[in-house]
Amino acid sequence: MHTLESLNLDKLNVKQKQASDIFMNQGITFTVYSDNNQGIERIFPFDIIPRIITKNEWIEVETGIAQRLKALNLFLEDIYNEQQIIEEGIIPASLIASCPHYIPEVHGIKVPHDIHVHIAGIDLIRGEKGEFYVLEDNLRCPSGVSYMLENREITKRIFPEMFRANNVSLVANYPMLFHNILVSLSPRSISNPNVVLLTPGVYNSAYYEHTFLARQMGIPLVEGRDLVVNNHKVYMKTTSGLQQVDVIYRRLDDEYLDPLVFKPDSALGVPGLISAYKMGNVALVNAVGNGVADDKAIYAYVPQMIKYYLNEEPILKNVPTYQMENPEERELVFADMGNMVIKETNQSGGYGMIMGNKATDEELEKAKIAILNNPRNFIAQPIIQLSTVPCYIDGELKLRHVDLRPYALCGPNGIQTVPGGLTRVALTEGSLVVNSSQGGGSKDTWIMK
Amino acid sequence: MEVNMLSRVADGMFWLNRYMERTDGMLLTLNTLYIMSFDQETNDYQGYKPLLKYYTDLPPEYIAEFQHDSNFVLKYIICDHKNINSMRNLITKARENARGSQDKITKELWEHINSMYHFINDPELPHKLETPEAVSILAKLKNDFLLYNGIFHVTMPRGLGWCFSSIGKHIERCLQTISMTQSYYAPIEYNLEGKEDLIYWRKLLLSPSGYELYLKSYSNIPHNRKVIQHVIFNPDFAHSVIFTLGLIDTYLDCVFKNNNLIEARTMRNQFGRLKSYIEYTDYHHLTNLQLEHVLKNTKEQLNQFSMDFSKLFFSYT
Repeated sequence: MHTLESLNLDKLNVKQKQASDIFMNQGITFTVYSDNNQGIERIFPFDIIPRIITKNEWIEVETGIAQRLKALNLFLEDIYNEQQIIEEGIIPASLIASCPHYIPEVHGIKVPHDIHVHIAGIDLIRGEKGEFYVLEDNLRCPSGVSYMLENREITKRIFPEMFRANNVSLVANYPMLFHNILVSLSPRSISNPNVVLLTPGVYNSAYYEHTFLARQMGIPLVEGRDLVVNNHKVYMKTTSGLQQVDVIYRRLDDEYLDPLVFKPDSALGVPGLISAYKMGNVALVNAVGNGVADDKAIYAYVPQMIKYYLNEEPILKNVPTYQMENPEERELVFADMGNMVIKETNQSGGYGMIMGNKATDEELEKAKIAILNNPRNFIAQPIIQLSTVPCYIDGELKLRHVDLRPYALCGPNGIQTVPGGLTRVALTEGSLVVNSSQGGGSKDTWIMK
Repeated sequence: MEVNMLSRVADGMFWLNRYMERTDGMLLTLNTLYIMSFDQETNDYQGYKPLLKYYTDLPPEYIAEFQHDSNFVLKYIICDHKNINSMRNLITKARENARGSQDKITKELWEHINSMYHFINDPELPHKLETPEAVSILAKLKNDFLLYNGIFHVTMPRGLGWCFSSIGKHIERCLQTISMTQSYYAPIEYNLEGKEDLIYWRKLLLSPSGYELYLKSYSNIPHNRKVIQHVIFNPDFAHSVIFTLGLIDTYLDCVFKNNNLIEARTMRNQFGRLKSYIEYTDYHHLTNLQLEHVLKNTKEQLNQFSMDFSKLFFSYT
């Protein structure tokens, strides 16, 4: 704070401009697609004031996430094999069967080290008393880690004196930690397995992140058309012929991975990939079918999972969640729509979400009809006032709502949460929507040692 | 050195540098002709014709109409989005290729290409080109390309990516040198015994930064045969045909060194024949007709080689 106080507005403006220029020149952009499918390249707004989290607060987050991921991994292993959690009546079978992200094609699969979630982004918010709540688990292709790393680099460049004077935990070793996990998953026992990052291509909204991570880990960035499956093995097409691929860090959703199994018209995937995966000839990170564990309706059962698999009380709380399939809970929500946020269970990124306190009567009526037509597709949560932090906006320090997405890595040696994360900011005054696709920004997150 | 790379990425790096080299060559020619257009005494009957003829697909009647119109040419060459070969479109394509091979190019290079992209897409640029600011815009773009080449040289690893992009760059440079040479020799019917003065040849020589070296290397008139000697056969001139073919040859060695593809040997021989064709041409006794054929055949063979090369290494779809 001492450094911030010593800077006048002109200096802060210069630093804000400096940060924006760095983002622009580095091409750190994402693409937003509108209804007419027109992609617009935008810079992810960056707030220069770092968010600070104390050591004790972080310990709670770290242990809570490790506990949660342990349970979620056990759940995925169980649900794609014995399904004891259903037999024991902890989770209704109908909820799994109706989940669009449950992939029966990979039922019975044995993944390396029984790990399904290798990289997770857990969205956290803070309540009125400062307590952390889990808002969402992202267990498929969580994005944003490159922003966490770049935000830190930019903060170091614009506030070197402030950074040096504080004892901030390191985030820069994330790519090395992750690369070690990827190498450890190779089905072939060779010293230098071929690990690749599979991207949908240059037009994907997170393409910058894909290139960033591939470069940081020193692995090839491939597209589906670069790969071919032959005799249940995956090869990449190189200038001197085909080369076998051992591990694929895929940034492609399940349904696009293999046109022979999922969407037949997908040109992004690799025909035959799932058969190679099921034969154990290639490892996929994250595993296929994880969507069943981060489905918004399943989310409500994570505390029960923790108790069932670990016999522990959850360290991090869930936000109270109402299942729209349950008539009683539905009526409760309908009676209090103005204080609820309605979410589609199969959407993410802030899409398919209605904030009851901002929606018009007409929008709420439409939402009710949609819920009644397909109740499994919706959940509701009470609107929680996200915590606020100071941000530098339009030449002034102002309070804005934020969330936090820490990134956790699961490998054969355990679970490690990188001490940092992506703090997303709702830049519009009073707004609670922090998603980048909905006009949110980000800031560096300092975990104090 | 790495022994292979993704075909798609190799393709991207090849074309990244081809597009950038084409843009650079076009900019240097534009800059030379633009600056020389200020001088009213040069009796310049061609104007921007060599530039428009080689670098655009404008029909002859349009070229005739605009070949002395600096205002039109500046905007059409630099930022007209309807011109598929405008600097704006070429830099955009180069950037797309850079994006596709971003894990193989350095951060510094990517950032520089990106900043060039933002500059060339500035909506104010066409307006600024109508003002005296045009000179400083051209100077900035020239500096940006010098910086691009410098960053490429200083930061890029000397692996396969370097070889593929260098082959792309020198194929493009060689084709440009041949084409611009044709543009200045065709109007005088490839007359090697003619008496065209240095003012005439300056335009051809200045664009690829070959004017000073020409003055240092050759003396006395007539120039017509000496200019050919310089732009085609001088091994010390970085834009000469013989120099660029020599570099392509060097990088082909790297690409083929650890490559066991059967077609690689055939391709190596194909290029060897092309290079020998220039190496063993006796330029002292070259006739006008032979010059025309040498330029035409070399260009055709190089284009064919480029296509075969792409087919062998980049046919990933």
